[in-house]
Amino acid sequence: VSEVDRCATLVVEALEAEEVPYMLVGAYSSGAYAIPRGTKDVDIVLSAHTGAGFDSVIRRLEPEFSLDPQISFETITGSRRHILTARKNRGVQVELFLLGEDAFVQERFRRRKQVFVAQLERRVWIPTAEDVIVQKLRWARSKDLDDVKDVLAVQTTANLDMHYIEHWCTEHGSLPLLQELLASIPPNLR
Amino acid sequence: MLIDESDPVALRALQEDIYREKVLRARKLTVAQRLADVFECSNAGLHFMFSGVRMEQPDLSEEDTWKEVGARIHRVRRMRDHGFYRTEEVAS
Repeated sequence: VSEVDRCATLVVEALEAEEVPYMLVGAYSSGAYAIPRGTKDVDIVLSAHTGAGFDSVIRRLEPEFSLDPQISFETITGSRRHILTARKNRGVQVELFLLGEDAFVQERFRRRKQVFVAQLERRVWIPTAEDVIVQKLRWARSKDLDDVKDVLAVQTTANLDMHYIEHWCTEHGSLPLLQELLASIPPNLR
Repeated sequence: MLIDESDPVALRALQEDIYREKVLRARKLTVAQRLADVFECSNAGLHFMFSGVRMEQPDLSEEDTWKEVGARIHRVRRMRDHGFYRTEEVAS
């Protein structure tokens, strides 16, 4: 088993054992709907407050991962991030984001869906394609915008709920960015 | 097909052809297949980095090679995260 697969399996197993709802995000979710690319981070959003659920998950993972004592907060949604680093292979890092109160973040989590991952031999939760687009437009780092363009190009607007996407982009003020990215897709791919 | 590298229009057309091919290939896959590919690409990338460090510093043990891989990834992460997160030290 490769290291990334092993780390992801350990974390998902711990979350399932503690019955903590979760979803895989970051390059995993954008790659699932667009052009797959590699990543060194396993990013997971979980619905657990710092307390019993979260602590139990960390206790289960302690033999294999070290927990960074420094926590951080994502500046746009305020999501709290905890970093776990694999003890065996220090290259692999798991970032655990606690589900925040932000309305879109809550909605994205509610709409998540299950997909089978061959390497992990199980079904895992990921956000929908529409929610990947909305969240990444909100962050708007260059890599995020590349990912959004790829999701739009691979999924096509005909297969996406554009009304839902436009609603949230209007809320977040990212509608002009969405329109710019849609226009940047070559006509023969629209 | 040869491309005139000084011709921006020809280069742009080449870029669009490559992008189109990547998109069309991705469209043929299911969500599960693309997700599996992310895991495969991630593992491959990690091992390429390991091989790169091995080539540069062949005397390092396997454990120290992984440590160096980890240190390099950590530097990239710090750059990526700059300005995107605010941090807080947890009292032990």
